[in-house]
This record gives sequence, C-alpha cells and structure tokens, in this order.
Amino acid sequence: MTRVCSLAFTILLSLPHGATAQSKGPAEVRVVFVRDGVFTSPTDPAWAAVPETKHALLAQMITVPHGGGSVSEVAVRATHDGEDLAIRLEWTDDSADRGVGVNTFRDAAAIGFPVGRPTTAPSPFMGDEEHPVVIWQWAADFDADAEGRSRFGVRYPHSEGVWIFPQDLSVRRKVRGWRGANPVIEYVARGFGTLTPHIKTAVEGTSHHKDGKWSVVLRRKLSNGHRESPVFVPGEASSLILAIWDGKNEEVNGRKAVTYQWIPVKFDGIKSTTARADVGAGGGEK
Amino acid sequence: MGKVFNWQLGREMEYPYEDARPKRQIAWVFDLNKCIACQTCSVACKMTWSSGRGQEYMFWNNVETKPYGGYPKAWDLKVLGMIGPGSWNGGKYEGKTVFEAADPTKEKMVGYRPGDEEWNHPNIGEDQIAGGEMPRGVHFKDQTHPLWFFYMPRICNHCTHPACVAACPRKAIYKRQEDGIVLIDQSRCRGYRECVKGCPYGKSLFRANHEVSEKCIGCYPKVEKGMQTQCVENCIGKIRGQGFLTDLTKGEPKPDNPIDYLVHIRKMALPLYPQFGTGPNVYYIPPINTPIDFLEQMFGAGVEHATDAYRGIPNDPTLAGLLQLFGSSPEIMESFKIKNDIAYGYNKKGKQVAEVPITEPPQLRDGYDKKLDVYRLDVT
Repeated sequence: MTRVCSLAFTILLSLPHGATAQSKGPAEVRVVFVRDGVFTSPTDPAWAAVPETKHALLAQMITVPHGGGSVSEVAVRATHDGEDLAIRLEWTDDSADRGVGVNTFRDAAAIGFPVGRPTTAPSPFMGDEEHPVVIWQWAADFDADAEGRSRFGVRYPHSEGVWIFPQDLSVRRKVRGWRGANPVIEYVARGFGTLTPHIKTAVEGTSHHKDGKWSVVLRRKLSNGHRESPVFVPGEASSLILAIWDGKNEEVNGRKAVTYQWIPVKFDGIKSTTARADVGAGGGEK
Repeated sequence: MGKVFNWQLGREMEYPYEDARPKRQIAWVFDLNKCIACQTCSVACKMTWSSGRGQEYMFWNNVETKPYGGYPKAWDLKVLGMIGPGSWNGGKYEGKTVFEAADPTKEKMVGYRPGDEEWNHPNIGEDQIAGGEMPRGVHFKDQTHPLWFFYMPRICNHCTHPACVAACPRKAIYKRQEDGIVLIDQSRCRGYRECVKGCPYGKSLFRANHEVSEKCIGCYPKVEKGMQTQCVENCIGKIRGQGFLTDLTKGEPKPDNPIDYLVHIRKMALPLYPQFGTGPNVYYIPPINTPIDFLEQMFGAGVEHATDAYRGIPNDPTLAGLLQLFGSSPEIMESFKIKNDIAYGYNKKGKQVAEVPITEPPQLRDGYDKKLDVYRLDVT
C-alpha cells in the first residue's frame, strides 16, 4: 500500500505543470499566436484553448506603505495576432469593489513591462532610475466611466442625478474633445512614487466579474508608437510583473499583492495556420 | 528618519525629511475667548473652495465645541491615544510625537483614516457642557468655571514639519518656500489617502469623485496679494489675526510684528496639540474660563501664563490694541503700533491699513432728532 502511494506521489511531482512550485522560477507566459484578431472580451470562449499559467502573489513589503496581499494567485493567458496583444488576467475575489468613497477602495490589477530592451533587468518593483517600466492599470471604478456611470455614484447612489456641476463626468463626456472613457491607464515609472500617466493611454481593457472571480483583458498594439515602450516582437522574449488590489481590504498604492520577480514571456512567431488559436508547439516564423 | 529641531517641543525630534524652512512662515492667531461658533468662517471657506460635488462633507475650516465635539469625530482623542501619554518638563516635551510613536518598519507616522460616519456630523457635541449639570441660579465666582465648554475653530495648520508631506509616497504634497503654505498638487495626487491617514488634525480630505485628496490652501491667491484668508477676513467676532511668524532659527522675533508679539514675545498664543510634533502654525489664545488642566493637554504648559496675560489686558494697552486690530482690515498686517489709545496696522509695504481706537469713545445724542423729526428710543 505504502509503495503504491509513494510511486503515485513521485509521478505527480514529475508531471509538468504551470504552477510555481518548481524550483526553476516563475512559469513562462506564452503569448499564443491567433488568427483574425485577439480576443477582446474576457468571457470569449476562445480563451479556453489558450494555455494558462498561474503566478503567486505576495503582500508588498519592500517599501512603506506596505500591506495588501489578499489575493494570492493570478492566472494569465496571452495572445497576439501580429498586430495586437491581449493579456487576460483572472483571480479570485468574491466581492466586486467598484466604488470609491471617502474610506472605500476599489479592485484593480496591473501589468508592468520593462521599457525597451535593457541589458540588466529593472527592479521588479516599479523599475528604477535607469530602467523605467511601463505599467498598465485597470481599476474597477474606471469601468464606470466606460459604462457611462459616475464613479462616485457607486458608493453614494443618492448623488446620482441630483445636480450638475461642471466637473461632473457625465457632463464632461458630452463636451467635445473629452478624452474618452477608458478603464485602463498606462503609466511610466522609475521606482517608487514616480508613477506618471502617459498623456495618451494606448491600452484598452474589458473586465468581467462572476462567481467570485474577476477576469480582465488588457490589449494594445504590438507597437504603439510611444517613445518609452516595451518591445513586443513576435518570436522574441519579454517579461512582466503583476499586481492585484482588493478594494474591500483597503488596498491601494503600495498596499497590494505583487509578484516579487520578473515573469518570463515568450511571443509565438507569426505562423500561417488554419486554427483560430494555434496552441501547437510554440515558435514558428518571426 | 532625520532629526529636526521643534521649538514648540523644546527639543529635537525625528522627521522623515531633512529640515527645510520656508523663507516666510504664514501663521494665524485665534482668540478662543471670543469665538461664538457663528460658523461664518466655515461658510466663507466652503462657499469659496469646497462647494463642489464630492466636497459635500468637507469643511477645510470647521468650528467644533470642546470638550465633546470634534470633526472628524473624536479625532484628537484617537491620535492622543496613539501617541500615548507624555509630560512637559520645563518647556520640553517628554513623550512621543506621531513620528516617534510609529513603527518605522510599517509606517512613517501613527494615524488613522476617518470613515464616512466620522465625517458625517461636523457639529456633534455643540454646546455640550462639561463638568456636570447646570443647576438653576448657579453663579461662578472663580476665574475658571466648574461647568464649561468653548468653541474651537480649526483650519489646516500649515505645519512646519507637516505629517501630510511626510506621508505621501508620491511626494505630491509640498510646502511653499515663499510663505510656508502646504498644498496638495492635484495633478500628482492619486488619491492614496496616506495624507488623510497621516494628518493628526484630520485636515486632509478625500474627494471621491475626482479621486484626489484636498485640503485648506491657505487662500494662497489672496495671500500672494497681501490679503487675509477668507476665514480671517469674514470672521464676525474678529477673533482671527494673520501674519508671518519669525523662524527662531533665522532671527529674533520682532516686537512690532503682530504674530511674533503674541506668540514669541508675550507667549499668549499657543500651538494646538504641539505634542503631535508637526509644528502647527495656528496659535490659540486659550479661553480663560476653562480649567487649566484641560487646556494643558491641548496647548501645552504655557496655558497658565497665557491666560494670566489675557486677564491683564485691561491694564495692557499694547495687547488690548493689538487684539482690536483683528478683523479691522482685509489686508495682512505685518506690523502694528499703539499710540495714544489708538491701534494702527500696516501692511507689508508699510502702508497703514487699519486704525482702531482701543476704547470706543462714548457718544451722546439728543433724544429728539430735529432733522429727521423722530424721537430716539431705547429698545429694550
């Protein structure tokens, strides 16, 4: 009996799987090549065919204020079609915290990439002076803008429609030239406290919350013309860092769950294929 | 953590940044013997700066009743509990400031972030008497009263060593070099609310619809033109004076500077909760009818001297005149002079901007006004 159990145990340990239990470091995220456009919605059933990697998150303890860490794992899937890149994040959070109030905080997620092709990796904690990182952040209250609601109204529903003040977003949106509602902000950072939004965010996002899980898709063009930009090239490697905030635990800024090291990313090359998502062996022509 | 000298504590203390003193430090004096809680200051400030959406709960200037009031609720009791007990030993504070009471591996200062419920009743405890029931026909014979309360108008103190500046992980709050006004840069702020947590006076407030924090801006557009702040100018009771306080590390206090005279020379105006350690620059003349042991907790060991000085005003023309100058000009008076029972106030350029008799001359008028063909009647 004992012999059978220990044999089964050995087999289990040797099976390859995407979890971080291996001593080799974080699992590599493969950006799968897809035909006919990346999947923009997190609920698109086509995502199921894309391999998923799970990444452990820990409470941020490197700089004050620290804390957070209520979300311990995030699952990542990624696709590109030679023009656009879409990354899907999924994590467990039983309450969708969408409101911002005086003492309420919202759920959010962020992905960071090194800018350019640095010879030494930037600090995985928001980069450093010499090595900036680009960060894409989605937050649950930003969704309100996209959906035509007031961010404020989630927490203070009685304020909706009560009076119009020139700065009300609902009025602003009707004003010509309004930048548009985007639930994602793109930033550059060179270390703690330096996060600065791009003048023109070139990243889009869609989110979904169901059955105690958030799923978010962030997407942008492989090359978007920004001067300080990560390099996304089919067939080549990159890396990313992740952060998740759980609003009900008052998580914001440094109080978050983060990856403590860079996660390797490998882009599939562009292939001619009839499959919608070619999840065969990676590689292919550049 | 660096070390800075805090004159209010009479000692050095820890502070997360190096000492950087402004060229001039704006400062205020509020006479708590005169405040009637009419809230005109609160309304003036609110109408000017915080009447927008998201600011409904905000009072950058508020007036609360002591001892039972507080905005946010019980703010001072909470912070005093966090720093723990202390004592004054010959003008030196022995105890922990908000910076020293913190665990440096976790945070830069102790503090808490008030919730909606704590902001929702700005005037709770108004007019509630401390010391027991008020019996019918009671008469107070002593200088300090056994049954008491007083009103406490508060604004951002534009501290010398601000906790909000130290709390912000993005350095989005700064103290201006030219006048020491502390401001939150609205384009740098991302609404993390570390400042809301860090300010021991509860004067940093989060604006939810813009997701940035806001605070009293010291009416800097007015100050830049030499004008008093809205709360000072509109004070009906004329309890507020404003000016610039001399930095003791840079020079001697000037006897003709109204704020220097009250704070440094006569020591009749005292900082609020100096034991927090931030070096607040709003100075209070303590109310003379409140028991000294209560006042000591709020204003430090100098309360007995300050209240004695106030009681001596009938025989002190300089102090009497200076307090008369409060509320007598829209311009900031940087110097003053008392001569022949008249108080004169001068602005930065030395131009006279106020002239107030210390004793209002009595006027006798006829019982019948020939010109208007009316009788003057006493209204009782």
